[in-house]
Amino acid sequence: MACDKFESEGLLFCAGELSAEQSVSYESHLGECEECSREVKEYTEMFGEFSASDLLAEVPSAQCDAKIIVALEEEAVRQSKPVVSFGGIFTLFIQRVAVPAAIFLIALTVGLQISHKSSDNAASIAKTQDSVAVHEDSIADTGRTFIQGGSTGVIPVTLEEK
Amino acid sequence: MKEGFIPTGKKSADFRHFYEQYRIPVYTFILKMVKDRALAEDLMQDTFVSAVKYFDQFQEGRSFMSWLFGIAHKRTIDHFRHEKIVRVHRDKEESTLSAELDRPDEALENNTVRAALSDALETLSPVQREVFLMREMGGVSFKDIADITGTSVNTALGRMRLALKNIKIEFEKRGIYGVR
Repeated sequence: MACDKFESEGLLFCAGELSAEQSVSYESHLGECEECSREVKEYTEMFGEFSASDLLAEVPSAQCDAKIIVALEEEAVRQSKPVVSFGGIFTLFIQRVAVPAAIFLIALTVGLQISHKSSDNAASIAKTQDSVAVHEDSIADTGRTFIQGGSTGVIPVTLEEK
Repeated sequence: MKEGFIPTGKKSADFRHFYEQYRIPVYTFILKMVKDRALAEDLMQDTFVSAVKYFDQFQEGRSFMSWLFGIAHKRTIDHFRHEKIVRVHRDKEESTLSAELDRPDEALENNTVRAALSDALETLSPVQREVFLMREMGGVSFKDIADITGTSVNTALGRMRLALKNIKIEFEKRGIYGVR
């Protein structure tokens, strides 16, 4: 029966890609399996002394080398420059302009609202004081009893007590 | 092939050194796949420029050669996909292209083993050829070949075995047994 171990392990063995333990195990298998021994022998004979890489090696033309070296140098120059992309410009705009401008606008709006409110308050306090004075004057004029509190738990007081 | 220089900086001298180190295995792989020198040179330029451009994506601890062959493989496959789409419209040009298929130089014809191996590669299917070339030209591990080609390790091994069988047949036809 044909052994299929050369395909699954023998090639890895020849390529040196088996672990030490697996190599030992496969080596012992080689002692028992004629088919695997033959395949390993053939493989090492085919490419043992001269590697296929030496036999097949093709050299690119000098023109091709020169063209590629120029392209690589251009790429090196491109990489050494800071990257200016739309995304980069957008991020820079957000960081340097949009965010500070938004903070400034928010601060300005809040500041304006606060100053507007405080001037409104001042005006309403002045108005209230005027109205109280008028009211008290009118009470003093009539000499009527002033009622402190709400509608329940009414405590009658006189103007003198107040 | 052993792992060589890996560019760490972004200086042009680094890239020049990097190119010199890997140009032959990458070029051989691409040329043997596309079989056209001018096209192979274009694809090789794409491969190296992409490698430099996306070098940040290279994960340390991984094989640099595998990573580079992965890019070369992707460029080659992209070419074949494009080729497949336009093939219908250029049957006539196709015959011209096959006349341009790379042949070993006349001086190298004397090297029977080299010629036999080159011709044997022609008999392989593209998937067998790519596995064989990645393994033999780049020393790419079968696990990495499986990752690059989007298959399992067993499939990559199966393709390699078939490639070896076909090469052996070609060698036997020419009375060469063993590269020695």
